Amino acid sequence: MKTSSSERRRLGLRGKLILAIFAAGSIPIAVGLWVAYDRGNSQLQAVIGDSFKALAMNSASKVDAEIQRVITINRTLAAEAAADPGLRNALLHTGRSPAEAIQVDWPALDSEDQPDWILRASQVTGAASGLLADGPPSPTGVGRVAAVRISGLSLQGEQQRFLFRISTRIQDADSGTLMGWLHRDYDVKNLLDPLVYPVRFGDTGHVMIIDKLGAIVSCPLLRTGSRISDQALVGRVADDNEGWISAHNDGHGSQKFSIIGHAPLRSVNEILEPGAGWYMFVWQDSSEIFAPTRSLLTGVELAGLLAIGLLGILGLYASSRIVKPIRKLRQAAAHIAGGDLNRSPDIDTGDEIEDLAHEFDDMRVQLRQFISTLEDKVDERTRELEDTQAEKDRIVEHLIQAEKMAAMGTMASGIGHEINNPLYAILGRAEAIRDEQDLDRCRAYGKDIIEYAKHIGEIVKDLSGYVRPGTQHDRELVDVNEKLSEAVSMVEQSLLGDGVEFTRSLAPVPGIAAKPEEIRQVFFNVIRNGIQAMGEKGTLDVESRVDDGHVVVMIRDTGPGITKDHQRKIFDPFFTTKGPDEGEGLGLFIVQQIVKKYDGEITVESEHDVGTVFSIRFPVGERNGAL
Amino acid sequence: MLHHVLVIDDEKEVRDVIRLQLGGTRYELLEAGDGEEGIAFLNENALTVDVIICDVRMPKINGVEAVKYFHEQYPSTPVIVLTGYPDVNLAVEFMKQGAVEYLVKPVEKEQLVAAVEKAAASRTLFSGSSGG
Repeated sequence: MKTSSSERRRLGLRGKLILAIFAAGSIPIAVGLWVAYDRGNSQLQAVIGDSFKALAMNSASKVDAEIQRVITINRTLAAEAAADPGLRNALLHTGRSPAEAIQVDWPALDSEDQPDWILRASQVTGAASGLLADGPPSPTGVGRVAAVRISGLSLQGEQQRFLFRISTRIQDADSGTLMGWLHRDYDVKNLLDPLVYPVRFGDTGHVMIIDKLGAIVSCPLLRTGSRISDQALVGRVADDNEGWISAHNDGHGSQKFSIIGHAPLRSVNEILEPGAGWYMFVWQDSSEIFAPTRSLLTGVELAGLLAIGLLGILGLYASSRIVKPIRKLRQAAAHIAGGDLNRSPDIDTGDEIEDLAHEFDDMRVQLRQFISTLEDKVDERTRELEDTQAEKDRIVEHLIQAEKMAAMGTMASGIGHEINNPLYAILGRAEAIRDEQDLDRCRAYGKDIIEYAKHIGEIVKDLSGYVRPGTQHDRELVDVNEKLSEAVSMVEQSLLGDGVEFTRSLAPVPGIAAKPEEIRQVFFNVIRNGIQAMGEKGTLDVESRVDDGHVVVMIRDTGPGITKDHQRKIFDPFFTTKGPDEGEGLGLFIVQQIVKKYDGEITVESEHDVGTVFSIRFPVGERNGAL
Repeated sequence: MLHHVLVIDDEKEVRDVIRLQLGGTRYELLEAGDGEEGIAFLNENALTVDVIICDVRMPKINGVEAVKYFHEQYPSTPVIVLTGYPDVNLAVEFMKQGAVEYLVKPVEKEQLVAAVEKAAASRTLFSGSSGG
């Protein structure tokens, strides 16, 4: 059982304690760290997103304002053009195609205030220029929208510059009649980049302008005209409302987690060609954004690891404080289990374990005293038991003797009967002689008396074998058949009638080592028992044979049989089915005692109304050893 | 008056001794070799027998059974048990069965005669009372 419990125990008390302290300490730390990190992270994201959104709005306003400034200049120029007689004449009376640019000699266009961001010299086209046909009619009919249009980007010239065109309406000051269009092309690099590029923060933070399809309009990192590959991201930031998003795409070719602020260029988008739209986009590398939280997390992680390490050390210390004395206790228990009751566990922890050790030691001392008393008691009881056994043996011996005397009494009756008849004949004749006068008759009586006296002598001689005093205490080799015959004779003599038929089938058998009178008594008791059971009517058969180193004697009667219940009890002392004067119930008990004494065995088999068989086995005696 | 005494005993020597002891008196002896013979005789000559002297140990029907039978069938005929067994229990048993006397062999002549006399007297008394 000890081995199996050890096999079953995979984790000792020490391991369990360390594990418990570890679990109790590290799980809250880990959970707390994660919660703090997660909450801090999402709060940081919100703060950064709002900042990015504000920056996008601010930058969009700046660009909007600059474009508005350019538009204002263009409107002034267009008004001047409308008032110029030469240009007016050229516009109103030209017979050329309206779309064809009118080359005018207009000093205003070459004025010194011509800013360097105008790539190409301004040009004017007629009222019927395709520009009008290109766009849908303004819903308001007249106004700023209709007055100014901005085209999308186009790549032009040998220098591969990206241009966009601002077209301004030239109209009659009085009637408002459209006279033509003033077109001026602007280089992104010159007009927008100076507004966008300077807005930088940190190492990677910047703003950029993209159009609705994801093409880069202006970006300090990406080339103008290139595209943002992730259309889903474009869809989220090309929103007519400002805001911020988080995405696993930074729009710059990486799948890193990013926070992006965005805002539409509202003024520009109102006059931009149909279907187009420009949006401000604010981005910073996430590793840079989250660098502070990362370092904080690293610090917290280190602190957590340190705490867990400390918990581990604490666990080791605590477990050794607890486990070590428990191990000592266990060792002490093992000593006791091994029978050594003299060792006291040496535990000085000053806590409950020490109390436990004291209790344990008290138990040990009590156990030692108890065992010592127990040993004395066992010795005492053993002596008593030996005395009792000796007493029992003595009583059994006594009973055997008493039974033998009883059997002798029965036999004496038989002898009496045998002797009394001839004695009676002698007495009768003696009386006759006393009263007789005739000498011859007296002589005849005397002769008869002599014969009867001799007869009595013969009887006594025959019976003397039975009555041999049983004083010999040594065993001798006993002839079982002889004792069986004697027992039958003894019983036979005690019978009143001839109702019992005796049959014998005796095989030659070796001797057994025993006291002869005790063996005869065994047979006598069993036979007498059978005859009493038969009511002195029936057949009693005795048989002897050799079987497997044993002499076996079978005694069968044709009595009514013994019930199963009684079969179990018949060898018990004082068990009897006879009346009060017919026996004490010791006969078969004594039989069993004698048989056991000689290492023999007695068994009974019985069948109702058929009879009973007693089978008695004795080991064959050693000729030399027995005598 | 001559009394008839039925002696039941399987031993001829015993019957001879009884004949010796009762010889020359006013008794006439009738003999039976065992219980069965005795019963058969009595069944045929019930009125003839005045006293029965019966042995105990006999073949076929023993004394105990025979005495029981006599007491049941012929209660007026007195039975003297004469046995070689000096057994108190057996004596008590016979008294219960109606025997008038229990004598153990060897019995002296005077004792036997007295017992037979006494038994015969009781028989006479019984016959007389039943007769008159």
